[in-house]
Amino acid sequence: MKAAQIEDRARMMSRLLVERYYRELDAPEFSDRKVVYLFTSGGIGEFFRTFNFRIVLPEINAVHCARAKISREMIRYGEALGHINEMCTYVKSDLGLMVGPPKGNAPFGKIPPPDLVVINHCGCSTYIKWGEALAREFNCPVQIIDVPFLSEDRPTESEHKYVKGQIEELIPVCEEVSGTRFDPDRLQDVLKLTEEAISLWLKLLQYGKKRPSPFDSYFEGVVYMAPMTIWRGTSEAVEYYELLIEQMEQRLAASYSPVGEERFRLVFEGSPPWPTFTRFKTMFERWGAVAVASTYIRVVCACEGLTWGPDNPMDYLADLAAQSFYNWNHLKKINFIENLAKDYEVDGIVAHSVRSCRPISIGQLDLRKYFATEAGIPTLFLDSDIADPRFFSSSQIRKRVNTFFEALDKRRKRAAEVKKA
Amino acid sequence: MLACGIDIGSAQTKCVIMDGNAILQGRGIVHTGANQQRAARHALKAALREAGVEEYDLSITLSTGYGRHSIPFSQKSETVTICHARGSIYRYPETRTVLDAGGQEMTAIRVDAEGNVLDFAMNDKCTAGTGRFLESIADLLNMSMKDFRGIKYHETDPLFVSNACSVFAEQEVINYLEGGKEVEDILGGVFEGIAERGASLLRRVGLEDEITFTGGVSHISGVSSALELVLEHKVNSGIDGVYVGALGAALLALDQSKHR
Repeated sequence: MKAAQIEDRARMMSRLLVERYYRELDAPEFSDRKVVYLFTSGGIGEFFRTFNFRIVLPEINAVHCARAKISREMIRYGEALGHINEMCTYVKSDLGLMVGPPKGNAPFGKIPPPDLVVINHCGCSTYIKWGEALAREFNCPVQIIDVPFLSEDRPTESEHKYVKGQIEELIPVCEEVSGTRFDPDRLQDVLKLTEEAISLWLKLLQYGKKRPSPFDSYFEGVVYMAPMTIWRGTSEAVEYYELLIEQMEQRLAASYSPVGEERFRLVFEGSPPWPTFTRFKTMFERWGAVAVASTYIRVVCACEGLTWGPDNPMDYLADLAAQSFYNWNHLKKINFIENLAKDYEVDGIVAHSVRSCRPISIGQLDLRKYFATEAGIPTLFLDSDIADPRFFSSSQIRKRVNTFFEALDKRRKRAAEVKKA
Repeated sequence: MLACGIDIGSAQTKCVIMDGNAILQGRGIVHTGANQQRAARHALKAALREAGVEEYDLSITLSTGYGRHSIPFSQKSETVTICHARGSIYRYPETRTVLDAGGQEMTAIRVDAEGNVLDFAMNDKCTAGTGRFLESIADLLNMSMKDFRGIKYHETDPLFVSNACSVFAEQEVINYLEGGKEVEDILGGVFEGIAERGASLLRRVGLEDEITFTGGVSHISGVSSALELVLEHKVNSGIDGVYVGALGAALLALDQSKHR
């Protein structure tokens, strides 16, 4: 099988799963199921799945608005609702879609209104106001799972108890809204599927260590992470990652690289500029640059070093929520990225800062400074946005990218000359 | 053997001709305008005239800057940051940190002893701190860039002018004028604002001795004086700062011709 065919299958399957997800949100056969709105960072969809909720992820709506090239329009609607220019563009985009004139009717599907909004406050403080605005608009109950920032490498005992306790308190709320009794056995079964998908996901991430890397952990990784985000705790996710691993093996056997010839290996940090994703991707492709590792695809599931498993369902859920990547402290992130750079033998680091999202971009300049000056790893800092294309200046970003690679290329040539001499 | 470096900036196009021993033979500068190819041709002509040679005498031409890919008579191209790094080492061999303030961009560069780029940081979306920003202030004050060069920063009593946004800075200048403030003091504030922005970028890549200031803005001594004051450090700058990118391009062209 040709490498190109292998790539198409994984991409196509991911797209089909996304389409099915949106179709089922509005399908008549599921209309008796209640709707919960949940956020992705530290999101524990498995828990709500056991109450037969249809799960809506407002950030994913914003991502698909950007990919469908309607985010500017949605942001305008969001701004007309009174949200200022500096406000998170995911929020404006989602509120523009849900509260603005489209009233949830998107080109990618009809988003049902919530019966319950659960704000898993994890890494992003804006979630709270975003969720409250949605709950206010649709006049439904709102619950908060307050997940404290990791003060140490792992959640302390009290942090763990605090998060677990809040999830337990949600049980009667979910029972009342959904009309379904809590079933601990079902939760355990669902979490076993999560664990299985996670182990395949972790296996996938390891492929980036190969030379050439058979996949791009950023430009392809964001496609591969979709089932992990929206199909958590299902056999669909497990089957998808089994297929993906199989395809990685085939790519590996064919010495396939997503850029043709791998010339530069990178670690990417930060969320992608969704509205201009393809243009952004091309800027790196033309240099033969591959993101062999990235932090963004760990947002839905940082996964490594979890203390608990599905045999202790509530502990496992609390662990999954608290150990989400955006909930890590700055030092943990820096150490992690430095280890990625070492283990995946990269030539440089690219940090994409998001104009309208300070919670995830804060510290990136310090990170850049540390890597570029103290750790001696060439680091490129770029600045645009996750949803608003007005913040993406092609010429400025292209110039920075080209300068970065030309400098890397020169340094490599010089090192080769010295070695030869 | 003659090598030519041409730097097509957003405001000005600079051309430099060097011999095989990296000795400067001629240079030319023109406004870029809308037609980059024509500007490049005119700058080349001026440099050829000064060097007393003909175009067919050139062994290699390397272009840099915004229009670097559109110049039909150049055989090679490099990004302007790489050229400024190399040119700075040529002008001031002990340079380890460079601030290039051009027409539309401000870039801080950390370099090694051979002029290789170790790290760089560029200004974000706003043009405050660039040549374009100074031109807009000059228009507002009915002055020219030449007039700016005559302003001695140390003789002014700088007024605070925001450096976060060029539009806000213009509004502040208008308010000061309405308030009857001295033009020199307003300009002292403008220079200081640019210097603060440059210093912030330099700190981002890490300050290392010596620091060299290049690009068109470096010609305004008031800005380099303000930069020295803000950094509390000596800064290399001279009247040929605008040519540093083209100098680097010519040096890189020489390197490449040796490898051919």
